[in-house]
Amino acid sequence: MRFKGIILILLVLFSLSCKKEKISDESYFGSKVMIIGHRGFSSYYLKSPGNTLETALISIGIGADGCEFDVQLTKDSVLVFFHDFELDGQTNGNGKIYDHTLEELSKIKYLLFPNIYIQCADSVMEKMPNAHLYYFSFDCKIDNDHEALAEYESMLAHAIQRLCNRLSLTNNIMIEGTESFLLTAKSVGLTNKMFWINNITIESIAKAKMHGFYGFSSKWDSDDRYFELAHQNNLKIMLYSPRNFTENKLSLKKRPDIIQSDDPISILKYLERYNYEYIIP
Amino acid sequence: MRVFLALSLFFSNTLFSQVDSTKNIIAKLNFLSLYNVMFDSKHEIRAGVEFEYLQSDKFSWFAYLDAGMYDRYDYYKYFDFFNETVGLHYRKKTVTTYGVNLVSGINYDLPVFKKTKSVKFYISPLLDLNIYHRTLNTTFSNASLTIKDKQFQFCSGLGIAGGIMIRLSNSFFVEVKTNATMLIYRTITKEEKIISALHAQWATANHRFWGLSQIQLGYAF
Repeated sequence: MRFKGIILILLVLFSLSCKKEKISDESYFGSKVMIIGHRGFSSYYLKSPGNTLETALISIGIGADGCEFDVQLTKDSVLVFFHDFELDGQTNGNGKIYDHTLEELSKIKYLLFPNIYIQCADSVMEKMPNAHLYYFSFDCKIDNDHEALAEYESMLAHAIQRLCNRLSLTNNIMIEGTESFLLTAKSVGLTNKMFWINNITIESIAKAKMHGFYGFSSKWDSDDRYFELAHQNNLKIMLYSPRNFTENKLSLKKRPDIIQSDDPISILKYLERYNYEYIIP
Repeated sequence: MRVFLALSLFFSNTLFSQVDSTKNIIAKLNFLSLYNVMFDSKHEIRAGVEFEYLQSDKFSWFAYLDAGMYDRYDYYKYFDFFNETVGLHYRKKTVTTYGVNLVSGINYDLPVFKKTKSVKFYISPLLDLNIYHRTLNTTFSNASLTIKDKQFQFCSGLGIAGGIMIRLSNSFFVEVKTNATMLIYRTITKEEKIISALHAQWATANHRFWGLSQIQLGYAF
């Protein structure tokens, strides 16, 4: 009787450990789905607010193909990585990022992470080892309340261009932004892959094709009725913010080209792309 | 369909002999060891055996042997997703690690305010020895090249464990135990590729400290 019980437990464990049919990571264009860490692994890694070199290195270390950064411009035209428009709430500073110089920002600390400062994009990308082997998505934060919006967009595009040219990373830095910003970026001569942050509809597909954008950046759970149509029009699809394994798998089912995951570990393990030799510090 | 099985069996005698002398062997399933099989793409087949001898009311010693295949996984790294240089290609690492872990120590039962036969708290200084043999085959798809590599590692550590045993019925009990161990000696054939303690759930990035937790459902027979 006792042994029957043990055998029953073993059988249950055995059946639980059987792997189910896998969702393919083949993309529509015959490549593989690129997996990158959202904000450089921030949502999963509780020791940092993200958008830092340290979190980007973790993304790369665990096997991700790169990471996403939120990009803004300071008053003195320096690219920095920070998510919110306002410093209030997250840091001991206040006001908008673009109202401060880099020197002023360098003194501002995150409230929850007092040892971490807002980082300059140039400095982060310079220190990124083998950056040309990875992909980085620059989510360009555009504050529509900016008094000189067109000028800000142009300066932001120029700053990205300078960075890409200096480090020869044009092929590796993708740009996410509004339609207006991407058009500005194209007009100043940026040739990076440009992803329009927008819902994918028949109208937006036609516009994206007309503007020569590389693809769309959409939330992972956005309406996917026109994904195939976008692909047929040679537009790539980047899905952002799946937060856990289930959302990662649902994102993968939609056959995107890039997934910006808040939980890259689970999807990388699922796709046999996780680097078990790396230990997260 | 691929099938994996991870199982840890722990045998202990005399532990609950005060309660029922006819049941002096206890088999325990460590559910935390199933984590890799359930949630990782790693294959793992391992088993552990623990013997514990009660020396007195307060002290007992244990020797726990955990051995088997700890790692069997593929790690793909893709390059050139957008066919901008040589086209999509990958580097595939196939890693297989066999190993033996021996953890031995002395359990000291902590005093409790209210005497009970159903709950026991203990702490244990311990010695952790592990031996690993790893084969690593790296394939480069664009060059149709495979490089084969092998490495051997011996490692020892000193640590401390703490745990609680709760008797659920005459035959079943639950044990929760955590070890924290510090490296004292390591020898490795390839210094740049240190193998982390594979029986542990947690290790520091420099591989000098590791922690092992166990949640076990035991059956006495």
